[in-house]
Amino acid sequence: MATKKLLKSTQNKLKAAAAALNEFSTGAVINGDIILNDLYKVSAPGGPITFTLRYNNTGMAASTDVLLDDKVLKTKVRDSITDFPVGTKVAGKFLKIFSAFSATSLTPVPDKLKVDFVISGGKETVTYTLPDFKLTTTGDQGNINISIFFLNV
Amino acid sequence: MINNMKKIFASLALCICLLHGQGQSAIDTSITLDLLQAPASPAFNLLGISPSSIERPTDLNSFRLSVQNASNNFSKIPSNYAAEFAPASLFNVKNQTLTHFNSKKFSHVFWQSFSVSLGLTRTDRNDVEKDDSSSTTKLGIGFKFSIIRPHWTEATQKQIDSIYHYLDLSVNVRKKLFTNNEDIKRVEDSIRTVASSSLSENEKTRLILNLSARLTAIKKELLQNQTDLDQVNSTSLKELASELKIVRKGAFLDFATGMVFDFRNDRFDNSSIYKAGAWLTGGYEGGEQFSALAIARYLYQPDKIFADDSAKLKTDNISTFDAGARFIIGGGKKKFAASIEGLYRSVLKKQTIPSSWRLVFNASYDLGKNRMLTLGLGRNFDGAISKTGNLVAALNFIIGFGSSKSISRN
Repeated sequence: MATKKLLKSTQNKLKAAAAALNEFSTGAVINGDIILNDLYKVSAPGGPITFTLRYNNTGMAASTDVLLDDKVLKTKVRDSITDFPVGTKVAGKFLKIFSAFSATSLTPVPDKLKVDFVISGGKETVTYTLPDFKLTTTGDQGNINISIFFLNV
Repeated sequence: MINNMKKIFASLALCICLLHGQGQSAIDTSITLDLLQAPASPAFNLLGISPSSIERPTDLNSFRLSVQNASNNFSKIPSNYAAEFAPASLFNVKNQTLTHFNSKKFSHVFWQSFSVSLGLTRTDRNDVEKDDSSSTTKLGIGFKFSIIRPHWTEATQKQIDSIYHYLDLSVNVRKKLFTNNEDIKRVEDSIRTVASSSLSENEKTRLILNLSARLTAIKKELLQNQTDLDQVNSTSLKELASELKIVRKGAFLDFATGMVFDFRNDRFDNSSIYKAGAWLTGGYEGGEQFSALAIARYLYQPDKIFADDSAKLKTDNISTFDAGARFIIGGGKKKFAASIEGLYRSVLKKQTIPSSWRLVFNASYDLGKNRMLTLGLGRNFDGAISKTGNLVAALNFIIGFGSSKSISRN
């Protein structure tokens, strides 16, 4: 992929902006929503990129939509997703995952939400750590909003 | 099928009458097949304890904490401890999500139903909980799992579809909120610009992570400002998910077993099997047409010997085998209903108490307008049949007067 050269002034502005943002975190939980924004290093042309979003709590129900930038790859995937093929030409794009989950009467509570989120096929397999989320009562629900940028290295 | 079954039952009833016409006593119907049912927690049942508090750890950490508390920080063996857990939950076994609970694959069925009960107590020879020199430490271990599991009923499937429908709505709300937001688009463009720049990999990584943190902050703000984002959905979903009751229809087979070890003189190198039991339960559940239940039970040193009504035998070193089956046809809104229940009981390797069996047949036909034809026949454990003595006398023609209310079946 061709790279554009940034002006020194632009570089300085970006550095300053980055420094100001240091207090922020890439993950957060707010009102029952888990947010994760991160990057994943890929090489072009590379092997197929896949991801797994696995719910490990007993009886958990989940529905997930998967997008690559604005292109919908799959909607209404039930419960866990294993080795989902994202594609090979992913560099410079965002993988967006919107997942809603609910503990059911089969889910033992209280417990913490047990989710594995793993991406592989790039520079290395990465297991992402999602912020902690507590399930306190039966029927507790939440959302996982993931955005992963594929950085070409 | 119903007609064929009627003929079979009529023939069976007639056979019972012809073979055992001599007896006239009433059948003891207080003993039912449910007596042989596997206990919910085999270990606690065999130990003969009803623990006031059962620990139910959901992960290894909570299990360790539970044992740590009971053992006073691992300094002594707890005198009273009861725990029940699903190993699949404890060890994060995969395929435990909701849709997998409709799977018939053995590995899914096994892990989802596999539960372990563990009990530790100090009791005397009469199973009375005591903590003195007359008592010994007893450890009970029990397992339960399903071998064959039926599918969900249509009603259950509909309820589960509704749960997913609300989850889909929740996903769509966030998808619209985040994909249409201009601030998010701007930060994403900045990330793309950084990625396509000539900066070093480390510098790009650092900048993109910082911009990613900015994305998180924007999304956080968006969600914070919209507290009523999906309140209605959320309430309906919570109700559906928490009240979800899974009902199944089809063939099933469950197994449960348990064992109690007695540590004589409280020495862990000196133990014996104090009690043991195994239960196999199978059948067909659901539907108005037909349902069946069959149970086989083995007990070693049971509290009470089922085959020994007069308690002639001591239970030491005694093994018993009991079995039973029940078939039900019709009932509900159907006019014809019939059931047959058989029980077999025996003491293994002992001639003092011979094995015995009982068979009870009940049938009814709703003629409408408060008329019901009923038939009850049976053979008791002692060989006597029901007091009616023959098929004709066993027919009861019931007519209700003065009311149009339906006569309910027992």
